[in-house]
Amino acid sequence: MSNDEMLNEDERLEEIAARLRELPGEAEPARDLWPGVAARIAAREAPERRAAPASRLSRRERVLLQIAAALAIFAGGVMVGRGTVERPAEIRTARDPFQTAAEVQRTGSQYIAALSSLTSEQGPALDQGREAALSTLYGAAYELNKLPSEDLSQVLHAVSATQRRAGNPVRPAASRPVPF
Amino acid sequence: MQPDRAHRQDDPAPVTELLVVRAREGDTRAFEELYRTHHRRIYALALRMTGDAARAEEVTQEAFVRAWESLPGFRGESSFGTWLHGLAVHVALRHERTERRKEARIETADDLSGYAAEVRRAMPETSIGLERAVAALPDGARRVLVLHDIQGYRYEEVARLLGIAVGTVKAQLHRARKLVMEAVGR
Repeated sequence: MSNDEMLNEDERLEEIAARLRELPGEAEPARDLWPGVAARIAAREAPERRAAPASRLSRRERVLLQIAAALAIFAGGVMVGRGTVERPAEIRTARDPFQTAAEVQRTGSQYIAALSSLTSEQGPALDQGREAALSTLYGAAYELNKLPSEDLSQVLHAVSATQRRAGNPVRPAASRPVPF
Repeated sequence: MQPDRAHRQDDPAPVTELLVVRAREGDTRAFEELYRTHHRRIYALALRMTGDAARAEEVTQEAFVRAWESLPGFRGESSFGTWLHGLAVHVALRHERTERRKEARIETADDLSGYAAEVRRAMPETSIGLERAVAALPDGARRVLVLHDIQGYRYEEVARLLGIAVGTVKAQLHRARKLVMEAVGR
C-alpha cells in the first residue's frame, strides 16, 4: 500500500468514525418495559422487607437509632430510680435500688457499645447525635444529683454490691458527685 | 465515567435530582419518571450491544432494576444519566458473559434482517446500512466500536469496562472501523 493509499484509508476511516458518532442515541422499545421493571422491583423487595423492615436505612441512621433507643432506656432507668426515691419510705423495699442499679448498668453498657460503634463515623448528623446524647446524659446526671444524700448512697451501694457479685469490684463513692 | 452521549442528553438536572432523592426514599413513582426519561437511551445501547430486540428488552429492564437497588449508593458524583449508562453497560456485558449466547448472536442473513427491521422501527432516522455493518462485526470488535465510537467512551474507559488493555482497544477499534468501511463500501 502506497503512502497516498494509506492516507486515503485513514481519511475514510475517520469519515466512518464521524458517521458512527452521528448515529441516534435513543431507540423506542416495541412495548412498555416499565410494568416489567416495577414487577421485578416489587418481587425482589417483598422478601427483603419481610426480613428487614429498616433495610433502606443507612448505617449512620441505624447507629443513631441505636443511640436514641439506648438513651431512652437510660433515661427510663433514671426515672424509675427517681420514682423509687420519691415514694414514701414505708413502701420502699430493699430490692428497688438493686433494680435501679441493674437498669442503669445495662443501659449504660448499651450506650457505650453504641458510642464505640461510632468511632468511624463523621459528619454533621453524627455531631448532632452526639450532642443530643450528651445533653440527655447531662439531664440524667442532674436528676441523680438532686437525690437526697441517703438515697443516693443507697443506690451507689447497690451498684457496688452488684459489681462485687459480678466479680468486678469498684471503689465506692466517697462523697456526693460534683454538681454539673 | 462520562461518555459524550450522556453529556449530550437533555437532562433537566434539578428535576432529575429531586426525582433521584425521592426514588432513594422508596418512591416508585419518582423512579418511573426517571425510567420514562432515560429508557430510550438505555434501550439503544442494549440493542446495539446484544443485537437482539428480546435481549435488549431484558438488559434494559435489568439495568433499571439494578439502578433501583443501587440508588442508596448513588452519591451524585456524576449525573444520574451517566451513572445509569455505566450500569447498563455492565449489565449488558454480564448478560452476554453469563448466558453464553454468542452462538445466538447475529450470524445469519435472517438474523441480520430481523435486527435491521427492529432498528428501523426503533430508530427510523438511523442509517440502516451502517447499523447492519456494525451488527455483523465480530463480538470483540463490535463491543469496542459501540462503546467508543457510538457511545462516546474514552479508550481507557472502554479498556476498564471490557477488562482488556488500551492497546487492544485501539487495535480492535481500527479493525472494526475497517470492517465497517468495507461493508458499507460494497
